[in-house]
Parts: sequence; structure tokens; C-alpha cells
Amino acid sequence: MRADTLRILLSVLTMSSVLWYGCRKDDPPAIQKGENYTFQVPAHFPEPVYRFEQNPVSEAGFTLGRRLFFDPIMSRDQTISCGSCHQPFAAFSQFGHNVSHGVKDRLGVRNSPGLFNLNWHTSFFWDGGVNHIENQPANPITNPLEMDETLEGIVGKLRSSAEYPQLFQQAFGDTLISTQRIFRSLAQFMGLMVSADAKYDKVARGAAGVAFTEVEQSGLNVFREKCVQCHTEPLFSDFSFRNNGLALLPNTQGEVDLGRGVIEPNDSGSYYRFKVPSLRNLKYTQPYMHDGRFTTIDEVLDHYSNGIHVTLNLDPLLQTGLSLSTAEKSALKAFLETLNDETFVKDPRFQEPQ
Amino acid sequence: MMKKNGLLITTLLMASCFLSCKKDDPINGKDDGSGKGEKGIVRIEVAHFAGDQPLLMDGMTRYRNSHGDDFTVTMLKYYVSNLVLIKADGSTFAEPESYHLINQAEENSLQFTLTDVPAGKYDKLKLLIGVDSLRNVSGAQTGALDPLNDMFWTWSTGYIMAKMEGKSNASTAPGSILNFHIGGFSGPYNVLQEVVLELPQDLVVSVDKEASLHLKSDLLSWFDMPFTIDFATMNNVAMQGPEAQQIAQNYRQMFSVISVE
Repeated sequence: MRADTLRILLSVLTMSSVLWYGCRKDDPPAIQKGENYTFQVPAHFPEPVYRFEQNPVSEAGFTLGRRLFFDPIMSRDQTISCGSCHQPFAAFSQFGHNVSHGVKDRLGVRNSPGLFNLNWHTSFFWDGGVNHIENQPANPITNPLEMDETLEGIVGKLRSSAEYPQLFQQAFGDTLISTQRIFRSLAQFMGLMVSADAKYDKVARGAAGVAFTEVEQSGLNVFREKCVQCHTEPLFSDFSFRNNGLALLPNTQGEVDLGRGVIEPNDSGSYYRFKVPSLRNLKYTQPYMHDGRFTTIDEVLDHYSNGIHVTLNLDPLLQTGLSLSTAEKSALKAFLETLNDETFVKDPRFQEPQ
Repeated sequence: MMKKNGLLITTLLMASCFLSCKKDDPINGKDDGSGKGEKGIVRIEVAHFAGDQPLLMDGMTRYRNSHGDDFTVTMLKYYVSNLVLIKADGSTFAEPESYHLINQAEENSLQFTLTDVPAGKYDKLKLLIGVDSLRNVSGAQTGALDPLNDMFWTWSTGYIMAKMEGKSNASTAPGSILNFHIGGFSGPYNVLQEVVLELPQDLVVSVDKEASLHLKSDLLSWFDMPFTIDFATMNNVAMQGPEAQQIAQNYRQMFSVISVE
């Protein structure tokens, strides 16, 4: 297995640059031979948290992960897949849904976040309850409001399917189907979802002929003065948990969401804090906030400029809101546009298999 | 920050343990006069009790905690990990990949063997009740640590180190249930308990004969000392926190040695 992996890595390394550009130009619907299955850290990104140390990426492992991601077999009644609430064209959020819908149209309590640059995340979910990318899928799979399935159920269904044993063999060397292999193949698929080709990134890496316009540049200046403390470049989140002054409204279960406090109920200092989301790909990931309460970026900016509610653990940086003039808001919006990565949402590697 | 420190400490501890094993092995052989490099097998058996009665998990047999509440038992499962056998001179054998899920409902889980144990005389057994912090932050695991064993929290990553379920008339929970799911691997609510058991006589490991160690595990200890548990006020623990901590500090006393052979 290791020899196979090495061979794939080597062949990919030698051919990658040429074919990488080829693929992007053509946008073919299916994975082409020789496409890039190595994890590359963009030059302007920091060191990732997860580097597939015990889970070497292969084309077969990635392809299995992709198959599982888009297969409704993962839910109890085989109606929804991971991809139902994480759609490629929506940067793997669920476009236009304030909260996600699980099996039998059960309403979840939180907005389904976009999935990209996950290898840099120090925790997963709005409350950071999960500490490792490989453990992430178990949560939506077993949540009664999402896929409402058991791990035994999934392992059983996959083992008795006609195709999966062979796919596991291709990915891992034998037909054994285990939770570890399911989770690791999903981590291969999701971990390779790197979004680093927005205009911002092109400027950052000095791509020929790409420069910010005047308004984008002045938006960047506003951003670096007023937003960057939490939305750290270049991932546009510091992945900390903060209370950003939202009104404490009841969620779909009729309760005020404690956020991080769900994980640490014994520490009231954790209440109403949510993980700082990235600002990349906002064009595709609306609505916004942990419960999707804001539909537009204008509403979000209005919230920060004059909608802050003073509640327990309100972030010190937001005590008096952010003063944003109309001109600053327009400039910020222009800058945020430069964080939309069309290459990423159209990357053929991440589309639903036909 | 705290989590990282914990992790670092765990890593250092494990590293130092491995180093000491390697260094000491040759000396062990010399000290006890057995052949150099000879190795044997140690069988460890666990028997569950409630005080001095063997534990029956039939949901009918009633036991009484030290608070005076009577109860029945339907489930008892817990991890022991990082087993280390220690000789009188302080040299050690650490079982590699040492994770065991003890489940009263599965007879096979009540005994296991340590293999490739260097020959010699051991007078202590060290173990961790629970799964060390490092494995709680290391992604998808397999074997005893497979989440299929239903000892893993999916919504707030971490192993359930120990589980006891049953019923008590004293319980104020719906259905009079008792539900103790004990977890938490870092920070103030870390429930990991390292235990060193002094053996009443030396455990003699040789190539000729399998050595064995019989342990008693007393469920009543969970509710006894230092925290006397009142089932009217504590009956349903399903996350990390001060209640889980109390139970864990109690059950660190659960093991005693029945016999060494």
C-alpha cells in the first residue's frame, strides 16, 4: 500500500503543475487522470494543523471520501448526504438555508458552514466541540436532527453494499470497512479542499497583472484597521470563540444557543461565544452567523456598526461597535469580494460524482 | 493552552517511559538471574464485585451504596490503558499500544494478556483508568478505541472513560435511572486516574509458564470515597464536569489484587 501511495505521489508531483492548469481551464465534470491529489500549503498560508500524518492521501482514498461525502447512504433513511447541507457551488455551505435540514426535514439549530481550508482549523463546528478533522463526520452522522444514523448502521450498510468493499480495497489495500477508514477517507476529501485562488490570493502571491482596485485597496485598509483582529489573514479567522454581540434569540428548539457554552457548560465565560468564521467565499455562503440570521453582507456590517447587543462575554473589541461610515462599508464590501474563490467552487475534484 | 500543555506533558511522560524501558531491559535480565532477553506472558483477569458480592448485571440483584441507596446494574464498561509492570529496582515494562475496554457484559473482555514481557519479578502494576489525553486528540482510532464501542462522544470529542448504568429507587431521574458516563481529558475536569497497584507477592515472569494477575474491581467504590454519592442528587452524568470528576476520584480506588500466580 505504501509503495502504491509513493508511486502516486511521485507521478502527481512530476505532472501536477502542467495538468493543474489544464484542468482548471477545461472544467471537466469528472476527475481526470493525473489530477492533483497532493496537499500543498499555499505559499502565503501558515503551517496547517493537519498534514495527513497518519493518513497519506491517495487518489483512491480521496475518491472514496468524495463518494461517501455525496452518498445518502450515510443517513438513517438514505435521504440526505453530507453534500445535502454542504453544496460545492455554495463553497460547501447550504445556500439560502438559515439552518440545515436533516432527515425527515428536521430543522437543525445552526447554519451549515462553508467547508474549505479545514486543515488549518484548530476545532470544528460553531462551538468547536470536535477537536480533529477525522472525528468531525461522526457528529452530523449521529445527530438526530441531521443524519440520525449510528456508526454501526453505516458500517453495516457499507459492508453489505455491492461497490464499497472494492472501493475500500483500492483505497486501503483490503476490503475491511471500519469507522477509521471511513473517517480518514472523508478527511482526505475534505482536507484537500483548499481555497487559495481568490483575487486576494493572486495579489498575495504576486500574480502577473493582478492588483487591487482603488476601492478594494481602501477596503483592505479598513479591514486591517477594524476587522483583522478576529478575521486574521490569510485564512480570515483566528479560530477563537467570541461573542460578537448578536441579540440572544431563541433557536429552532426554542432555546438561546450557548455556543461554546454547550461544550463547556460549567464555565459561564464560554457562553454565547461562537467560532470566528472565515470571510472567504461569502458570495457563496449566505446567509450569515451561526443561525443564519443575516441574509446580506449589508446586514452584517450594520450589525457591527450599530446593532451590537451587550450580553455576557461580549468581545472587548466590540464593546462600542465598529464605527463604519457608508464609504467604509462600500469599500469593505469591495474588498470582501476579492475573497471569493471561483476556482475553488468550480474545482472538478470536489464536485458530486455523476 | 492548557490542552496543549497537557498534551506536551503526556507526550513527554510517554517518551520518558519508553526510554526507561529500553535502557533497563538488559539490566533486568541480569538482576533476577533469568536468561537474558527471555520473555514471557502475563494474563490479567478482572472480576467485578459490589463490595464482597460478585456483580450480577441482571437488572434485578440489588446492591447498596454507602449513602444507603439501593440499586441494580445493567451496564459496566471502562477503559484501562498504559499498563506498566514495575520491578523492585524501578525498571519497567510498558505494554505497547496498551488500550483495553473492560466490559462486564463481554466475558472475553474480562481477561487479556501482556506479551513479550521481559522475564523477572515484578512487584507493581501501574495503569490509567481511561484513555490518555493524547489519544483523545489524535483523530480516528481503531480496535478498543473504535467509536463503535459506544465509548466516544461525537459532539464534544473525547472518550467516555467509564460507564455505569442501572436503576435506583432513590434516583429522581425519569424512570429512576442511573446513568454515569464519565469523561473529560484536559483542564479542570480531567478525569484520568493513574493507579499503582502494589502486588502482595512478586509476579514472576518466565518463558516456561504464563504468569497471571487477578484483579478485583469494586463497583461500590464509585459511590463511596472520598465523595459519598447520593442518588437522589446525582443520578445522570453525561458530560465532563465536577460530577464526573467526583465519580472518577472515587473509582480510582476500585482495583485491588486478589491473587498473583
